[in-house]
Amino acid sequence: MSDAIREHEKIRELLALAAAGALDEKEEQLVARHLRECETCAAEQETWSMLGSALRRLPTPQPRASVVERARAQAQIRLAESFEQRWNTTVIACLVAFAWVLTVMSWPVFKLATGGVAGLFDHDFHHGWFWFVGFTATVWIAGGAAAALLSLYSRRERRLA
Amino acid sequence: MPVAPGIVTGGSAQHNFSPSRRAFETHTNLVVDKRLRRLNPDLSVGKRIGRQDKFSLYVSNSFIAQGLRPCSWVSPLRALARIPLMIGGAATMSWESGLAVDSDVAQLRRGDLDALSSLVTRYQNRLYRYLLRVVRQPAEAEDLFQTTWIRVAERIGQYDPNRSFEAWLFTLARNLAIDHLRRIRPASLDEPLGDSDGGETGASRLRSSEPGAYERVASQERSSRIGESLDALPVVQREVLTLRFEEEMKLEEIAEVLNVPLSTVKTRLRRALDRLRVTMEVRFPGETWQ
Repeated sequence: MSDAIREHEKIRELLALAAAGALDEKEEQLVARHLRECETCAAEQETWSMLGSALRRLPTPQPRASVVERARAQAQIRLAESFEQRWNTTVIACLVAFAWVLTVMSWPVFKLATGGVAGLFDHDFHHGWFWFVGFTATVWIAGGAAAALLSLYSRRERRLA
Repeated sequence: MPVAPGIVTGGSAQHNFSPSRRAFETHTNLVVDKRLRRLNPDLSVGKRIGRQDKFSLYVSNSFIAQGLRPCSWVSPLRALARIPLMIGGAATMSWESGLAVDSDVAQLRRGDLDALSSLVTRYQNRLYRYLLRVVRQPAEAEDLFQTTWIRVAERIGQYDPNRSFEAWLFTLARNLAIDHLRRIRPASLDEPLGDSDGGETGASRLRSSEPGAYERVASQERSSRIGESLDALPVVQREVLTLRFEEEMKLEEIAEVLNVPLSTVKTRLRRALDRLRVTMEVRFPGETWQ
């Protein structure tokens, strides 16, 4: 097969993509040069262009106004729910963290009230407080994880229902 | 993506410069050029943005170029004196519209219900058209249309503002449509309905059973020969044609929506056009497509 025929075949394969505007710059130049010399391909290109134009001119079907309004309303409700849920989660997380800090701080306050300032520098106090912080953190994290799992489970139940 | 204050996202601009806000509702596809980039540093050059009113962009950017807020009060004489500057600024601008979309998406991410409403209005026809091309049944397309917007509301927190909102929206719609087809009509994912019953398409089948519904929704499309031929193609070919020719998406965006490499998009596009042409020639021999 000669180079000319090979190029002709190659260009013919590109003509559909040319009508779709899907060629890169190099391919576009190649096609444009070939079309100036080849009447067959130019006619073929014209056909593809007409097909492309016909596709672009297809009438746009429109959804019914009631469908759009329903979609809008449902999506807005879901968006509001979703942001409310996010806000509630943030507030609950902050309250839980605040409650934990209060719990943890209650011990030094108790020591301060019962043993004075000197009690805060006691080695036993530091040691005990360290374990108290660790213990309460573990308990609160476990409780939080259980609440999160329960929430996910009930949300899935609601969705399936 | 954050957008230039005073043009799109600025609250004061939206309230005090309402003509521009209204103009954003109807938009054309244009591209940010260097001049607009200089005026609006948060925009990136080459970014596609939607259409907006020529006058509003012209005025808002010219004011901003002079270091003024769009809502600033300007005496008539001073305004007249600025006209040459405005013309100079406007002459080099590309008119855009993605600015409005970016603004609405940014507000939607903050939970603004009006922004969601605005996006529904802006994309309603395009999204519905895409879904109808994919599933071919108006009733199913309408259901998917609603589900898509609900999914948008649920997942807007996961949207990456660096990506195109349009591509993200169509990706959600496509995933829902493909899941639906897989569940309802698994065979339709591979072959057109016409292959099994003498060339009858989903659309033509619906016409015979529910003429009223289809008439109401897509009477123009039904009358189109090319529309019928398009219906006869497999879903992967229908969707790539509609995304390219009707939605006028860039190849990169199509690749993002379809989640395939660019080369696959080109291959699908070429095969789809080949098959559409053959279908047209078989169904309507000797007819022109103009």
